[in-house]
Amino acid sequence: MTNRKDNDFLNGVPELLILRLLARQPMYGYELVQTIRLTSDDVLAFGEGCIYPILHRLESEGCLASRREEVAGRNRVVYRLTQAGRKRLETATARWEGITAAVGRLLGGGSDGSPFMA
Amino acid sequence: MDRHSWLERVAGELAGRGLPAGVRAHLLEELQDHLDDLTEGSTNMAADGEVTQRMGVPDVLAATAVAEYRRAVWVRRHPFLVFGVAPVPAVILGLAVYLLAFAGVGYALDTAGFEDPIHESGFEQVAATLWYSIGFVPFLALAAGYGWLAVRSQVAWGWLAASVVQVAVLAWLARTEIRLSDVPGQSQVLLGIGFPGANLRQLAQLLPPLVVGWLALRTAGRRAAVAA
Repeated sequence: MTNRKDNDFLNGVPELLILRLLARQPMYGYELVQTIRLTSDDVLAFGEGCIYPILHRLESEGCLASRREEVAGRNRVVYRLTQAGRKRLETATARWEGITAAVGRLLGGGSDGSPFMA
Repeated sequence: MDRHSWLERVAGELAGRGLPAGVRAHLLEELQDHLDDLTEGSTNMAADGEVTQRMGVPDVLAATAVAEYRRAVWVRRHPFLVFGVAPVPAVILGLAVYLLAFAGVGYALDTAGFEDPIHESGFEQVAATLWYSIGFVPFLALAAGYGWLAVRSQVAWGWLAASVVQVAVLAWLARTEIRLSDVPGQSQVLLGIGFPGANLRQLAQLLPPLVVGWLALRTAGRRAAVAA
C-alpha cells in the first residue's frame, strides 16, 4: 500500500517510467500501471490512482497528448509522448543514471562508509 | 471500502483541498475507468477492500493530485506577476529583441556592400519594413503569447484581459521614427510613447492585440465549457 514516505521516495520515478513506456507505444492509464507492475515483478507497485495526476501534469506541460479512443471494446483515454516529452525523457533518464551511479559509488565504498581515495 | 465509497472519498478529499471542478471531474472520470478495468480482473474487489490497497489511500491520492496540479501551473499560482506586472517589461524586451533582429539584418546588408546602390535600396526597404512593422509585430506576438499562456494554464479570463489590454495600450501609444542619413552609421531609429491624436497608424496598432486577445478569450471560454 502506498504511504506518504513511499510517495516522497518515489518522487520522479513514476514520471520516468511513464515517459519511458509511452516512448515505446501509446497506452492508457490502466495499461501503464499493469505494465509497470508486471515488468518490475510488483517491486514498483505504487497506489495506482496516483498515476493520473502525474499523467495530467505531464499533459499540461506539453510532454503528453491524450485522446479518447476505443480500445478492446472500451472507451479509454490513450496517452502519447510528444516531442517535448521525448526531451523530458532524455533529461530524466540522464538524471536518474546520475543518481544511480552516485548511489552505486557510495554503496561500493569502504565497509566503514568512507569513500575510496585515489 | 467498496469502489463507490472509495471514489466518493477521493471526490470529497479533492473538493476539500480546493482542486478546480474541471480538474476533479477529469481525474475522477479516469479513476472510474481504471476501477472498471480492475473490477474486470477481480470480481471480488468490492468485497475484500482491495480497492484502497490497489488504488491508494484517498487522502494521499488527493494530496498527490493537488501537488501535481500546483507543479503544473506555476503561472496559475502567480497570475498577478505574470499577467499583471510582466506585460510592460515584456513589451520593452520584445521591442528590444525586434530592434536587435533588424539591426542584425542591417549589419548583414552593410557588410554585404552598403555602397552598392542595390544594397542601399535594400537597406531602405529594411528600414521601411521596420518602420511599419515595429508597432504591430512585437505587440501581436506578445498578445498571442499571453493568449496561449492563459488558455494553457486556464487562468481566469480577467487576467488574460488585463495583460492583453496593457499590451494593446502600449501598442497604441508606441511611436517610431526612422531618420535615414547618407553618412554611414548616422541613421537613427527613435522609439517612444505618445498619445496618438489623429495618428491613424497608432490607432491601427491598437487593433491586432485586441483581436488576438479576444480570440484567446473565446478559446478559453470554449475549453472551460467543455471541462465543465
